Amino acid sequence: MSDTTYVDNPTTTSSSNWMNWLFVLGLVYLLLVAVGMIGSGFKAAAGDQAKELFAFASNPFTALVVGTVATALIQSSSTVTSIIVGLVAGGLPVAIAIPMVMGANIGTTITNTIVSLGHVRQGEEFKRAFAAATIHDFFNLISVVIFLPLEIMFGFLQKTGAYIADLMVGGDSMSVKGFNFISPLVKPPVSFLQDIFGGIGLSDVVAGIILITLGIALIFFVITLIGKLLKVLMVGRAKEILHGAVGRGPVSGILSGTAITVLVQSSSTTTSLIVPLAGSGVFSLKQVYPFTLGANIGTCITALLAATAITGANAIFALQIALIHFIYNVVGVVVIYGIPFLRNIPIYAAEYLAEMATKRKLYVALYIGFVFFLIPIAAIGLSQLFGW
Amino acid sequence: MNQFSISRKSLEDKICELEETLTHLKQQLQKQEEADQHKAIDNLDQYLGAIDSKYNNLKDFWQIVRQELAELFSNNSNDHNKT
Repeated sequence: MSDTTYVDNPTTTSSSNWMNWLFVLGLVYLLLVAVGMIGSGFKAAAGDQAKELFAFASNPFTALVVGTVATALIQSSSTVTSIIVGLVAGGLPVAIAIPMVMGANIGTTITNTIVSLGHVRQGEEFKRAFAAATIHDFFNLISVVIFLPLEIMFGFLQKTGAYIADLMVGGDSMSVKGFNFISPLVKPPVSFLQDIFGGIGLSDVVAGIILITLGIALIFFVITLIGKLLKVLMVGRAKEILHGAVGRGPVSGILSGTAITVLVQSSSTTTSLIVPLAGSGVFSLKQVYPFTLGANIGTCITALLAATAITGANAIFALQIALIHFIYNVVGVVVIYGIPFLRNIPIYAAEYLAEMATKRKLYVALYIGFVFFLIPIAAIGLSQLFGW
Repeated sequence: MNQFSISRKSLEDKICELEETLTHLKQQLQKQEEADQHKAIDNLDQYLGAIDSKYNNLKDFWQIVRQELAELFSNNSNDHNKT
């Protein structure tokens, strides 16, 4: 075989890169269409009954659990938050959606915990990798413990989100103000599908349910595919960002975590990438901690993008919940990481759990089972039982 | 200069010297750590595969947990038989 076989043809590589980027662009468009489908489908299926339909989740703890379990099962907070944005556009009250978004933050942490299990047979390496994974869990749990009660009492996230959304679109539908050029691009395929379903004689409810189901399936498919493509396309850029952050302190760590998550459109990819880096012992737990916090902020880009797909009167609420997701994550990082006492809790908790996990792997199974499934389900049962 | 101040001066000089050495060593260590970190980042591509092997991770982990559970229950039943 000649040597030339091994030489990359720059023209071919560049054209295949262009193709990949066009493909990503197409997938982003499909994501927006999918969010629009959920919004329109939910509006058609539920009509004015949207609030009643989600009455079961009107208890914030139940909504939190729905967000946690759904994200833990799907293993993608971007998918769940995009679906939430679509549901809010369809009439789901923002007050119910807020704890769901908080739950999505908790649920997404299961992915890097599972990735850390890849080191399970390597003693000290597992200890470091598991601590690096669970520090994200503890941070998000503390964040909910602090901010959910505050939100229930004062509604500060809802009010701030409403204020900023109002500032951005002037209190009107986004399409009316010309703020949004994306929604007119997204509307035609959604209307086309609605026309088809109407044409074959399906009732509004059935057509709405089909639209929601197709929308959820499409979001799942698109986000999985975008994640896979961007992982390959952006790995070079991610390396550059990481190289730039080395030795520059926590703020740089947070910013680089945010930037990489925006590039790969997945917080779990970002937080999972640092698990082996921490496992090898090259990065300490304190060094990877800010990086995982950046992932929390970067992941908000998907919901913000999804919100641009919404048209009509509820568009402002879709933008509001996307902004709330962003504000919640930024405030969480500022408050918890900013106060030394709070900052150290996730570090100690992760180190303690990792110590236990190296002694018995059973603790890991108990931890995952309890935190992501049993406690949430028990919380729903208790809240329904006592009518909280 | 009396004996006391001479020994004090020499101790202070030694401390200064040690502190300088310590600072230098710390800087060297930091450089070494950062070099290792850059090297690890260069190998980031290898870690991408790890994200996609979650199912295998869980399978392997479950085997270990089953083994631990079996040991735990067998120990318990041995203790019970002894009593």
